[in-house]
Formats: sequence, structure tokens, C-alpha cells
Amino acid sequence: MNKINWRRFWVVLGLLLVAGWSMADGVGDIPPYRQFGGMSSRNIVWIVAQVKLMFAAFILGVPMFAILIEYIGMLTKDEKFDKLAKEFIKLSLIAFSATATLGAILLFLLITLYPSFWNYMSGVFAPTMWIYPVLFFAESFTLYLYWYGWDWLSGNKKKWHLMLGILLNVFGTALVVLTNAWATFMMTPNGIDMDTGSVISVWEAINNATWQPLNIHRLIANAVFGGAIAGAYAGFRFLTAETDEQRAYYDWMGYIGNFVAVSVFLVLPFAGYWLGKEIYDHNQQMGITLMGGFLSWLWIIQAIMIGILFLSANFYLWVGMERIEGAERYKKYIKYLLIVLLVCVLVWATPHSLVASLEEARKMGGTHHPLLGVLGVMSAKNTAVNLMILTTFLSFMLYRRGNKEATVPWRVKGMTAQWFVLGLAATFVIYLGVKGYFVDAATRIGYAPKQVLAVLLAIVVFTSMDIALFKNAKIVGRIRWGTIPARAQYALFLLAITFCWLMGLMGYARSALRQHWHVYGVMRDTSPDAFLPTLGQASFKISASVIIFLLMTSFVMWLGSLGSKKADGPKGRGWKGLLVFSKVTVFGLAVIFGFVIFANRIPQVEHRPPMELSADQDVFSMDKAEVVALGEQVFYGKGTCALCHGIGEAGPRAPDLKPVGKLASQHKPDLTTSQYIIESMVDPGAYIVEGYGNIMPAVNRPPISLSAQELFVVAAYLESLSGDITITKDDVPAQAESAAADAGPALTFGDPAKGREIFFGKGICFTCHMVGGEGSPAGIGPELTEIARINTADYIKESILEPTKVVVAGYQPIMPPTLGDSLTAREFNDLMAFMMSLNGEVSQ
Amino acid sequence: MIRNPLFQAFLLMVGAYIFYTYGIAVLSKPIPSSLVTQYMGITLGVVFLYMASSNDVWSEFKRPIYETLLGLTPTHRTVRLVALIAIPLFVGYRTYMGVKPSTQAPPPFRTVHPANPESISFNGKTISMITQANPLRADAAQYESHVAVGKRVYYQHCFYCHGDTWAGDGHFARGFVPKPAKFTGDETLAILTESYVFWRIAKGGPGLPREATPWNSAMPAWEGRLSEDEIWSVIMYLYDAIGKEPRSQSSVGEGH
Amino acid sequence: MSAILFFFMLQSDLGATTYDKYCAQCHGEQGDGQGIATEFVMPRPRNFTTGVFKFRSTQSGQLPLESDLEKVVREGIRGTSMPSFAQLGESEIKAVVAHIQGYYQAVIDRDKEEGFYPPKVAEMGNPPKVTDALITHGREVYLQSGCGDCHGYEGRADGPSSLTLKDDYDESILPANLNRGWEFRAGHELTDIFRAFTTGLSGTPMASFADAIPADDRWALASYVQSLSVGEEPTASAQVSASIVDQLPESMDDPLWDSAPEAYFPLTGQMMWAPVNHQPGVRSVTVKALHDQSSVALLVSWDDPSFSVAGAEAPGGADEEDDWGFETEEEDDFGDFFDEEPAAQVDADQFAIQFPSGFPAPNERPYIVMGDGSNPVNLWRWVQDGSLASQQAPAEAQSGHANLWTEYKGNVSLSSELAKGRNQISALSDGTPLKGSVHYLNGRYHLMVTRTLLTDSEDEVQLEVGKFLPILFWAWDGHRNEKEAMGNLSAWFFLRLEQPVDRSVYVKTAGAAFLTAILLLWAIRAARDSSRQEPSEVVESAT
Repeated sequence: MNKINWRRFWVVLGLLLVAGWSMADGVGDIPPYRQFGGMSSRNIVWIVAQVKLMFAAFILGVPMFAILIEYIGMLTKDEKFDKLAKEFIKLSLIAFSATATLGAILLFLLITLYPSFWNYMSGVFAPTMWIYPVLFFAESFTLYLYWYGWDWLSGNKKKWHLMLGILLNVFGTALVVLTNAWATFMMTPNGIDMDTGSVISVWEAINNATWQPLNIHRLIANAVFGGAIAGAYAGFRFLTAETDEQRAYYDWMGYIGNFVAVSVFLVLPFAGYWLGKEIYDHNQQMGITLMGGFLSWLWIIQAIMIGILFLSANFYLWVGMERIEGAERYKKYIKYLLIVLLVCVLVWATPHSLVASLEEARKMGGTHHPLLGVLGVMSAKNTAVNLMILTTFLSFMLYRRGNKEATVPWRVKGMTAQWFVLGLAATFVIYLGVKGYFVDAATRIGYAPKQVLAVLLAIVVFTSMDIALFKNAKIVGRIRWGTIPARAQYALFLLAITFCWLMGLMGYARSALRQHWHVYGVMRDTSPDAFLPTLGQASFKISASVIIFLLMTSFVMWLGSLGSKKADGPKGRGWKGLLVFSKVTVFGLAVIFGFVIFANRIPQVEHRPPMELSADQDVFSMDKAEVVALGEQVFYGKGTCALCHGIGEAGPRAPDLKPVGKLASQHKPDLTTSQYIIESMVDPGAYIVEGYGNIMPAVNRPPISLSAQELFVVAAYLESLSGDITITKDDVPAQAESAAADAGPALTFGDPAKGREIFFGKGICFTCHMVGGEGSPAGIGPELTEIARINTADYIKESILEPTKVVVAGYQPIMPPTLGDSLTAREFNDLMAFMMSLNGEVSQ
Repeated sequence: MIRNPLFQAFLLMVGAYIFYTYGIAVLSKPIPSSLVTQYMGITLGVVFLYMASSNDVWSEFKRPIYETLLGLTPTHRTVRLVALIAIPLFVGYRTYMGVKPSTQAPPPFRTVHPANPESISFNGKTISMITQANPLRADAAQYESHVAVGKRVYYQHCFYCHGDTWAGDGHFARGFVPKPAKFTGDETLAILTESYVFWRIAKGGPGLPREATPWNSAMPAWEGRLSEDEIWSVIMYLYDAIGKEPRSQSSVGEGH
Repeated sequence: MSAILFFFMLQSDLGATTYDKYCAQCHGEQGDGQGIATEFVMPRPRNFTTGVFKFRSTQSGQLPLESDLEKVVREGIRGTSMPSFAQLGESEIKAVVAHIQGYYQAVIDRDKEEGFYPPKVAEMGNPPKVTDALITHGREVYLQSGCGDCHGYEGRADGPSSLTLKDDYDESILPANLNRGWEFRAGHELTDIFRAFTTGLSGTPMASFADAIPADDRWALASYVQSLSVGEEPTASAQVSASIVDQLPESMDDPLWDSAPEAYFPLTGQMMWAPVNHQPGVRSVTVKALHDQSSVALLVSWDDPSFSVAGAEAPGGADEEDDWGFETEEEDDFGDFFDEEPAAQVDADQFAIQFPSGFPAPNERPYIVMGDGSNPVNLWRWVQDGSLASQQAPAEAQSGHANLWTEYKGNVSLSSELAKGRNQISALSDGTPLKGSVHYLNGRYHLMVTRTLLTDSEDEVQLEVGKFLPILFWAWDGHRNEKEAMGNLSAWFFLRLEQPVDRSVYVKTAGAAFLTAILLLWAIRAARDSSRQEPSEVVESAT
């Protein structure tokens, strides 16, 4: 690991230098992308951004409950709480500079490696990018003040200290909310012109569709994350503690960390659902990618991890009951709780379509299992997660009353009522879950919030009754803080590691949703990294981020402990610390290894960007097969070539193009094959195949307007039909690139409706031609329904005024050249306007 | 021995394995080995957590292992010797099965619903996948006649694979892997917008995005053989026939 | 009273609406077999107005029972486009049958006048126990009664007169292939087959043999026919596995082939691009493969009732004076095999094996109909060019049928082609290492192909040992004028060339076992250490 860190250090140093150069360059062309050495820009940014995000989540999450604990300490006058809050803040203080440094690295990476992208983002969000450092500055100073003023603002000045803490959280939250706007804008851009990308409203850009859901989701997740990391820290200090007093304290701290993490975690799935719903509502394509398409297998890993989180949180509570005298009364419930959890995790982790070999699929009659396939859908998942939440809540409640005995006279009735409420909620959740299978999708979606409400309501009611029930409760035993078994601490580590990894995984999911876009639908990622890696490949990057984060965190915490060593206790625990650290490291690596194995076992799909031409794509150096495929698309699509030409057979109006690659030597011996094909496209009159009319428009001009890249791919496709692809960038004439731009405006000053009357009246055109099924069916003259799509105004005008000059193959040159004389100028313009409206979509 | 948690855990795991492999097969159809592995992993974790959740059970759980490792009695020593030979052999066997050349064809994996492109070009005309609704639905008076056209299209071009009863079981379905799409039920048409269905019909298997490979889809691209109106008609007919409503466009198009 | 009337109206209304929704598309809104899908189904849908029904339990020449029709609606007709409509429910099925009876009311009325209505159920008797002797006797009856004249010597519809048969509409009809029991329209049970002999299949050349053959012989015949095949179509294999042999077989008669496992793949008509093949001529292939690490040999077999050389005169088609419609129609006995209009001239029988070109990856497959521009395929194609030497048929066949069966056998040349779509096929350069031999006898083709695993051309498929190589099969029946993309094809499956287990596998296996043993020894040591240090805490310290 150290080795990699050093490499990263040099990379970062180098990047800073590059950044300096690029700024010094000032003017000049900025390339859209830069690579650093042989490394993938995307992977560097990915890992740095992920590690930075984890640090940020930690320093934003921890103060949230530090202030809460301090407040509890103020109310209860229990020194322990105040000490704990202070220790938490110390943790975030030492992680603070690491966060800032990582943020700076990320910024420089983006500026240097993705200059165009950063240029665009800073163009849209310029005003907010000034606010950001101000907020950051304010947050830092508030934090310092909060930390250093701890003793100064104590006693009756404590409320001022609390105010500072609140202010700290306000600044921190503002920072998250602001950066969320940038991130969500990339997913669901808003407040801009979707065609040009120019800004219309910065506020609208900030207030995009997924901004609020992500704000909520991240705030909750940050609190959970902070709790989980703090819990793991306490676990480590517990294992290395020398004295009983220390052990008792860190046991308690781990308990609080776990409590915060788990209780906040219970609402996280709902925030996740909201975010997912907003994404689906905003864009079906994204929604499908997320739930049914490319990312669908990711949810199986996610399900396993959430199962681990629930199980280890519950496990911690159950083992914790060992240190509560009197709690053995409730141990017998554990197995029932576990059975419920097991069933829920199994349901939660059952994929909808299963990985099965052909034989296995046949045995179960398709990729969906007739019985278990039912568990793969939303109704089952929602039910399972709600029941897991209720079970975990119940575990906590049992833990809480471990050493207490209610003394209120209505205790029997009260407890019965509590069980009733819980049972009612569970029944309701299951009822809606089952009913979900028998209603349509829209109704089913409406059940999810109802299930959530039922569970939350039950939790609130149960808790309120519990508080009343156990007021002045008899304490039947004491809590022996510090005697929790060591294995419970590993549950805390598992919780923290799993949560880190899950956060990395969800970061991947959210970014992958954008597919091959920097800003979805607006700014395309045209770099070599535009593809999305498989889940297996992503798991390595996520693991790297998690390992780097945990090592860096361990390091800063070790630094933090250096100062307090003397105060804490006797020296000489270095060896024990190292031993515990290596044990925990082996454990952590094993867990991460397990995740990587699992992520590599499920189906691996790489998401390649669709083969489409975009303005800044370098088609000239692309893979031949891709160029041919693109050419085929353009041939049948934008180029509209197939309206006249055929492949392997003569088209309705023009020759078979299959042998075109071999014909150059016959038709134009002095041109190479590729030159001949390009010439045929930009100057179609230069050589006319015998038997066909000179009717083809130059395809690099309106209305078809192929770009130089499109000419290139079509030519390559045509060459591939009968031989090798020989075309190079030089074969595409330079003027072709600009030809598309000098498009004259189409004739629009006439009235197409009047022109239609002339077509079917005075002009008697309809006696030979057909338009949209009307006119002469005899086929005396060509069908004109799509004439404006396949040819230019000039050509149409010429065909009317000088009809015999160009005659479509298969038709007689019998059209009278008298229209120019018999129609007035206005009538002629109306007729032209009508002709130009004939783009294949017949208006009634 | 029955009271020993280690033995109980062992029994539980054996029971779970029997249930996942044979029990579910008896109740319904057998489940694939990938899922059995996953279920067994989860179950192992849960059984382990149960054994570790109480100090007494945990020490009882570990005791036989420790005693065996230490070789306290001749029996323990025999067991230890057997384990020393048997466990490496078992691991070796599993490794051999894992690394030897596979004889089973790789599982055909497919993305159930690949994400649609933003827009498609249909005979040169751009059709947005995000905002385009079925234009034939605009005139409610024409509904029956469009459905009638759609029915004709379906029975001329689609039913021999997708079936008389829209269940993907036409008389040619026997030759396809994967089977032709089943339109009835909640998994296909009922959760898709009509523009998505249009895309699948117009572009077929060849027009699937690259992440959807290996799709193996035999679905032809109907772009060259059916007109735009015919495709919209057949979509209308299908929703009419299966009695489902397409996913609405209204919520999809917001913000774009 | 009014309730009964209402119920009756409801019934007839239910029959009509059900008919319109599920039946009219094929059988026509007037029940005349002229629906919008009539041209696209196999065989032509029944015209109810004539009152002629093939599958009856009634005596020859009589109308079917209602239960006969209900059975068809409920269960469908195997091997045809008529699916099972069991999901409709019994009341709908009864109503729709009542509705259908309305279409041939005139026939019912006529039969009533003539005293044939209600129809009488044909005598069936009890099926005997099937024994080998009974089957052998059935085989004798089969040959003596002339069944082979239509159904062929081995039952593959290749009898000498099979191609000249006509149905009631004077249109060509093929006899059933008795080797494909799952396509027996009326079923593969002994009684189903016996019933077909007894009642005959109205409207087809398959007459009732109730009078011509005694019941005991008919049971023997039925048991022989049943013994030729199974009642359910074999499941499609996932792959063709080629095991390693020291030397590839020289010919398809080599006993080495007996040990190779046989894979079965269904074929369908090519329906993806026009012109489509609605009446597939070849419906499955069986494949075996062997390799010797430098070359691969594939042995493919498929049924084709006619040996077709391009340009040959089609039997039964040439001397027709009337001009046939563009659609084909025929029905036949319990397994009318195809709808076929024998054209004046036939095309060549063909077979092709399709691979992705180059080095195939198991997870990337070109479009199944000969790939496309960016994902081309390599075709190994054999075209029947009439060069095969004809031989005397086996001795048994000569007894009584000396000149009716001919055998064709010989080495043939195959071409290797690169296809970038159905109409962009180019031959690859000569010197292709493809070698082949063909054997045709009794309605069955066998084609053996050998090729080196690797070739010099990057357009040809390169076969790597141990990989799962996508493979697909094409077949064309020239007699049915199948050619170009209008053929029959399978889905993509895999060809797997067995890989010798190499040493690294054993090294890994031994390594894993060794590491586990080390770990166990370490655990023993660790346990001992901890018990020595803290004997009282043996158990606790483990946490």
C-alpha cells in the first residue's frame, strides 16, 4: 500500500506542475482531455473523488451528532457525554486537513485532465464556485473556534458553545448542498438550453430534479457514515485499551457510534427510493439503466451489503446484551429475530432474473424462477426491507429494557399494546406486499410510502409508550461497560468497512447512470474512458478507494492519539496496538476481498457508448468495424441514401452500391476507389452510371448535409461491401467540412397550402406525379412524396423549369417545360414551397 | 453431541442445503447453482452470528474445535488427523473442479431491459424516445381501425414467433434461444412506454445497444419492412389485446 | 324461461366474440379458412364450411363429435400453427365449438337427412400389449400394405409417390415423417395412431384402413409406427462437445463416431428478412463432433424427403395443366409434414454451418441471419451439385422394392464464405482446408465436414481448443425451392473442443491443498501456544 501511496504522491505533484503550466499557457487551444502518463484519467479522478467524498462525509457527519451528544451532556450534566463529543470533534478536526487537501487535488485533477468539462462546469456554476471557498473558510474557522473554545465556553457559557456547533453544522450542510448541485446537475441538467448548453438560470441549474433527493440522501448517509467510522474507531481503541476505565469508555463510545449509525440508517432506504423515483421520473433511459438494464446486477451486491449491515448491527446489540445484567431474559428472542432477518435477507438478495446455465434455465422454465422470481420484484423487496427495519428496531428495544423492569401499574396492558402495534405494522406491511402482486404498477408504487409510514408510525408509537413505560423503571442489574466481548468490536469494523464499500458502490452507480455523458444529454464524454467498466472492474476501484481511505484515517487517528497518549495512560502499548492493527487489517482485507470476489462472480457487462457520430469524435482513427457500422447507420439514416440506392440490388432510382468499391477503375481510372466514392457524394454529376439520371444531390449540402466525418464513414462502409477499406482522412476534401455550413435558406416565402392547390389544379402536376398516395397511380412521373428529403431546392426548381435536363431513370422525358411560363411568380413560389414541404410526412 | 452448537450448526447447514437444492425443487422448480451458493453464504453467516451472539453458546461452539486442535484425547487426535488429511483434500478437490476446463456452456446472461437511446432515426426521421407518444392515439375515433390494422400486421409478421396468445410461444418459438418476448404479464409491455416498444420493433436485435450483448436476439429490424404507422398500429393492437396500458410518457418527459 | 333464453344468447355471443378474437385471424371471419394470417400458418387453416375434419373419433366419412373439436381447441394440433387454447376455459371452448358448428350447419343438415347424424364413433377395441414380435409383425404389415410407398422405407416421408400426393383441393401434400412422433398431429399414443388408420384423415390421401387391414394387423402396424420415434421433441442441446481422438475418422462409417455424444438442435424457417420461409422444410439437425487438436470433424444429419439437384424436374409438378395459386395448401394424415407446392424445377439441397468470423468470443455473437457489416460470419457451405454417385440400396430394401430406393454417397467439396448480412456473401479464397463427404439414404442426409482448427485467413473462423465457440446450422430443401436466406436455421449454440487438462491445473490443486494443510497446522500450533500461555483461558482468548 505504501508503494502505491508514494506513486500517487508523485503523480499528484506532477499534476500540480502540469496545472501550473496550463495556467501559464494562458491562451491557446485547450485540448478536451489530457492523459497522465499511461494512467487512465478517469480512474485517477474516480479514486481521488471517492476518497475525498468519504473524508468529507466523515467530517460533515461527525459534527452532526457531536453537537447532539454535547447537548445531551449539557442536559444530563454527565461529563462522559461532553468528553465523547469532544473526542468526536477531535476526530473530525484531524480529518479536516486531509479532506481539504484531497479536495484541492481533485480540483487540480479536473482542471488538468478534463479541461473542457471543467471549463463548462465553471461557466455554469461560476457564482456558486465563489461561494464555496467562503463557506469552507467559514466552516474551518467555526470548527477551530468550536474545538479550541471547548473549555473556554463551558459552564454557563455552554449554550454559546452549542450555538457555535450549530453554526458549524449549518456551514457544513451548506457545503454539501452546494456541491450536490454540481453533481446532480451532471445527472439531470436543468436551467440551460439543452441544445447549446448555454446557461439560462443558475438557480434552475442548482435546483435540478435530483438535487433535493440527493441532499437528503447524502445528509442521512453522512450521519450514518460518521457513526460507523466513529464506532470502528472506538472498537479499535477498545481492543488496544490498557485499563478497565478506558475499556468501559470505549465500549460505551462504540455503542453510541453504532446506535447513531443504525438508527439513522433505518431511514436511508426511503431516501434512496425517493432518489431513484426522481431519476426514473426524470428520464426513462436512466431509470431503465439503473433498475432493469446495465446496473441491475449491482443491486444484488447492494442487497448483500445491506443484509450485512442489518445483521452486524443486530449482532452487536445481541452480544452487547451479555454485559447487561437482566438482559438474559430476552436472549431467547434472538433466534426468532434472526429467522426473520434471514428470510428478509434471502428475499432482499434474490435477483429477478437468475444467472443460470442453459440446462438450469430449462429446468426452471426460463431465466425467471416460477417461485423465487416472485421475490425479485419491488413488492417483495419493500416488504423485506421494512420487516428488517422493524426487527432491528425490536432488537434495540429489547437491548434498551435489558436491565429495566417497568413499574407503572399499566405495564402489562402497555406492553401488550406495544406488541400489538408492532404486529399490526408488520401485518400491514406484509398485506400490502402481497396485495402488490395483484394490482397494476401505478398502484403498486403507491404502496411503498404506505409501508414506510406504517413502520415509522409503529416505531414512534412504540418508542413513546416505551418512554412512558420505563419512566422510573426498576433497575434490575447494571451495565458492565467494558466487558463486551472482542468479537462484537469486529461487528463494528464490519459495519464501517461495509458502509464505506457500499458508499463507493453507490457512487459508482450514480456516476454510471450518466453513461457516456459528462453532463447528461448536453456534454458528451468522448474520451477513451467513456465506457463504463464491469462491476468486477469497478469493485477493484471501489476497494482501492476504501483501503486508501481507511489507511489514511488510521494514520490521522494515530497522529491524533500521539498527543493524548500521556494523558490517556501508561506507555508501552505499541506492540499490542500493532498486533491489533494487523489483525483488524487482515479482517478488513478479507471482507473487502469477499466483496471483490462476489462482484466478479455475477455477470460482467461493460457499457460501451453507442456508436454515434458526434462533432468532436475522431472517426478517422477508429476501429474499422466501428467505422463500418457507423457508416451503415448514416447510409440508412441521416444520409437517406437507401431512399434511392440499393445494396445488392438496384434501388428505386439509383444503382446498386454493393460493387461500388470495384467500379472506380472502370468509371474513373485516374481516381482511387476512395476518391471516387467521395467524389460521387460531393459532386454526384461528375460521373453518371449509364441508365440513371443526374438526380443525386451533393450529400454534404442541405438538405442532407453530411459532415466530413459522416462522408468518411459512409465511404468506408461502401468500400467494405466489396473489398478492403482504403480511405484515409486525406481523401475527404477539406471543403467538405465547411460545405455543410454555407447552407442557403430553403424556399419558405411561398404558401405551401396554395402550392398544393396548384399541384392538384392549375399546374396539373398530379396527372403524372403522386404525392402521399394522391395523384396519378400510373407512374408516369416519379413519386414526389419525399422529394424535399432527398433533393435540394435548386434541383426541384430546375426540374420544374427545365424538366428534360435531368430525367430519373425509368421515366420518359415527357414533362412539359411550360410551367415556368404558365405560372405567375407567386404561384411558382407557392408550388416550390409545397414541394419543399414534401419530406415524407404527408400533411392532410 | 446433539446439544453441541457446532454440531447443531452443521445440521442446520445440511438442512438448509437440502432445502435449497431439493426442497425448492419439490415445491416448484430447481434453482440454479449460483443462487444456491448465494443462499448458502447468507445462511452460513446467519448461523455463525447466532452461535456468536451469546458468550456461552460461542464458547461451547468453539470448544470441540479447540479440543481437536489440541488433541486432548485419543479420539480428538484421530479426528484431528482425519481433518488434517480430509480438509486439504476437499479444498484440493474444489480447486480442481474450479480450475479444470469447464464443460458447461457459460450462462446466457442478458440485460432484461437495455436502456433505450435518446432518440432513433427511423427511415431518416428522428423519433425521440423521451417525448414521442403514439401519434395514432391522438384521434380516439380512429382507435378501432388502428387496432384492426395492428392485428393484421401482428398476424402477418409477428404471431409465428410471439404466439396466438401473445405469450412468446408461436409455432416457431421452439427454434429460438432466448425465447421470443412474452407480451402478457407484468414484465414487458406493461412496464414500458410505447416509444420504447417502437424502438425495439424498429431496430430489433441488430439495433440493441452494445451492453446488451450477447443478446442473441433473432428479432429482425422492421424498419425496412413496416411503415411507421404500421408499427404504431401493432403496438396499439398489442396493448389492446393483452388489456394493459402502456407506461405513461407524461412523467417521463419532465425537465427535458 | 327468459333466463334460459338469455343464457343461450349469451352463449352464442360468447362463441362469436371468442371466435373473433382468437380464431378468425386464421380460420376467417366466415369460417372459410381465409383469415388475415392464412398465408402464414402451417399447414393451411381448416375451412369449416366444408365440414371436412381430419381428427375424428367417428367412422370414416362422418362428421366429428363436439368433443373431438373441443379437444383440438383445448390441446391444439402438434407440429402445426394451431396452438392450445386451454387458457380460454371450458365454457368458452364449448361456446366456440358451437359457433364453429354453425359454419357447417348445411353439412349437418344433409347428414341428418341421410341418416349419418349424429355421427357414430368408430370401433376401437382394446390396445394389445406391445411386444417386439408385434412390432416386427407391424413392420411386415407396413411393407406389405404399401405404407412405404408414401411414408418411405424408414418412415421419413420419402416414399416413391410421396411427392405426387394431392389433397381434396388438388394441392400437393406430403405424408408424415414417422420418425418425428412429436409432430404426429393426432398424437403419438398407440390408440391415437390406431385411430388414424381406422377413421382415416378426411380430405387427405390417408384413407381409412378399417376395411382393408384387420384390426389386429392395424394394432401391430400402430405399434411399429410408434416404435419409430418418441412422442416429445428432444430438448435442444446447449452445445456440441468434441472429444479428443488420436486420429480423426476417415469416413462417417468409422466406429469412432459411435462414442461421440449426439446433440439435437431444432431449426425454424428463416423469418427475419423477406423473403421469409413460412413452411420450413428441415426442422432439426443432429450433430456429433471429434477433434485431434489440429483438425475438427463434424457429422451432421438431417431429414429431407427428397434428393434435390438444382434444375431437376420436380416429381408431380411438371405435368400439371392448371396454374396453381401462389399459396400452398395441403393437409395430410396425422402428420402432414409440410405445405409444399412442387415447382416445375427444384433447387439444390444445401447445408451450411455458421460461425462468427475470426476468433470468436463466447459472449459476442453476430446477428443470427448471417451477421451484419460490423459482425461478419464464416459459412461452411455444401451445395448439392449432382456429383454424388448413386448406388444400389441395401439388400433388404430390394425385396419387392428393388428400384424404389437409391443411395447416394461420395466425397463433396465445400466452400468457405464470408457473410456480412444475408445478401453480402463473398467466397473466401481457394485452398480452403474444408473437406466433406455426404451420404443420402431413406430420406436422411449425413454430412461429414473436417477442417483444420486454424487457417491463414482472418475472415475464416479460428477454432480454439477449450473455448466455447458459437455455432449455428442452416439447411435448405431444394425440393421446396428453399435457397439463399430463405432457408431453415437454428439459434446460436456452442461448439466446444475438449481441452486436455494441463499441468497448471494440477499445480493449482496441489497448491491449494498444501496451503490449507499449512493453515491447519498453524491453527494447531496457535491453539497449543495459547493454551500453554493461558491454560485457563483456552476458550476465551480466541475471540
